[in-house]
Amino acid sequence: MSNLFAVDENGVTMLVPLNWNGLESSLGLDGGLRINGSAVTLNPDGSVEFGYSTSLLRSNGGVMVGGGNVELTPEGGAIFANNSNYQFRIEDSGNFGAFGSVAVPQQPSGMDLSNNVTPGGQNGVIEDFEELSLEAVRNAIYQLANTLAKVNNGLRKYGLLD
Amino acid sequence: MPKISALPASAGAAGTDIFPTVKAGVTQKTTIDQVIAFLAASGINFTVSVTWAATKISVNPDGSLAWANGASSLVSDGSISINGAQLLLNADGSASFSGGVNITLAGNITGAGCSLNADGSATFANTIVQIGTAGELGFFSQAPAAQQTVQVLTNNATSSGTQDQIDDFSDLIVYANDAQAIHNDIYQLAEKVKAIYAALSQYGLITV
Repeated sequence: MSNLFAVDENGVTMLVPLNWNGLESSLGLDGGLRINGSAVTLNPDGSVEFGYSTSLLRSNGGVMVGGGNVELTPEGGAIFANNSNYQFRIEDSGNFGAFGSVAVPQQPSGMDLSNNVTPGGQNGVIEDFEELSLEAVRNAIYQLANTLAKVNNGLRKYGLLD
Repeated sequence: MPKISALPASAGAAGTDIFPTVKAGVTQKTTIDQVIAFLAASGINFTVSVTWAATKISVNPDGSLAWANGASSLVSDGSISINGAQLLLNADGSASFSGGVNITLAGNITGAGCSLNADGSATFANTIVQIGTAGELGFFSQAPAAQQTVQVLTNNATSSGTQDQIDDFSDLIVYANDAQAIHNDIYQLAEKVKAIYAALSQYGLITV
């Protein structure tokens, strides 16, 4: 082999075989490694820092953190686990599951709920009634429908319901 | 002319020291500085290890480079390519892993507004969205909450009314006009509650 280490007008080039002296490691540093100032820094403590606000970490494989407790798949999925017990996952298809549930697609609701009952009662309160009066029944139904519409319509906006 | 071996030992080499060389059969004097300049202009190829600072940095014939000082570092103004660009550490601060393999970290990944943590937790959008270590969820800066328990609803009202619509009513006298409207409303409310429950249960956001 020749020109394994060269210094020329293009800079310093070092070509190290994948296996040399029976070792797979190519470059050993007791200190750190810095690129272009502090654009990329590999620190002696094992941490890596990307110093620019525009810095990106790209991989066409996946990204695993903490032995797979967090995993980003190359197809766009994400898994969050607690000691290998899957807690929260987004599959490549967008299916979603929380607290260990199997990830499922968007769930049906139908459509937004229309509350045509005449407004009445106190917002967020369902009053008791012992006799069947128009006001008591209508207010209760209005408030129930009003709250339910907010929940249903809100979840539809988030996309959790179709 | 005395033998070279008979000359007195040098007290310390300097760039201006001279020694004899022969060019086209003519003996002439050359300085050490001239030799160094010649080597620099010609390129230098070492067949043995070159070391600096008492072997703290070594460039070896097998292509390896070693630093032996704990505080030493490698600094590059350009990029660093590993194994045919399978890993590129770029001068613009980015890094690319193109070998189709995982990036595996025992520690956290921390960005300006998000983090993926080794314990399985994560934050996004400056902690507006959070996932706890046991999968707790929190949106819009609410503290992450564990899976919520909600009793399953059974709707025994007879199916009636218009789907997704709660109609008004004006009195309780004429069944055809009002009691039926109340019945319809209760049925439709219960159906909508069931639909929401079923969806959130499927996602795992609530449980029985």
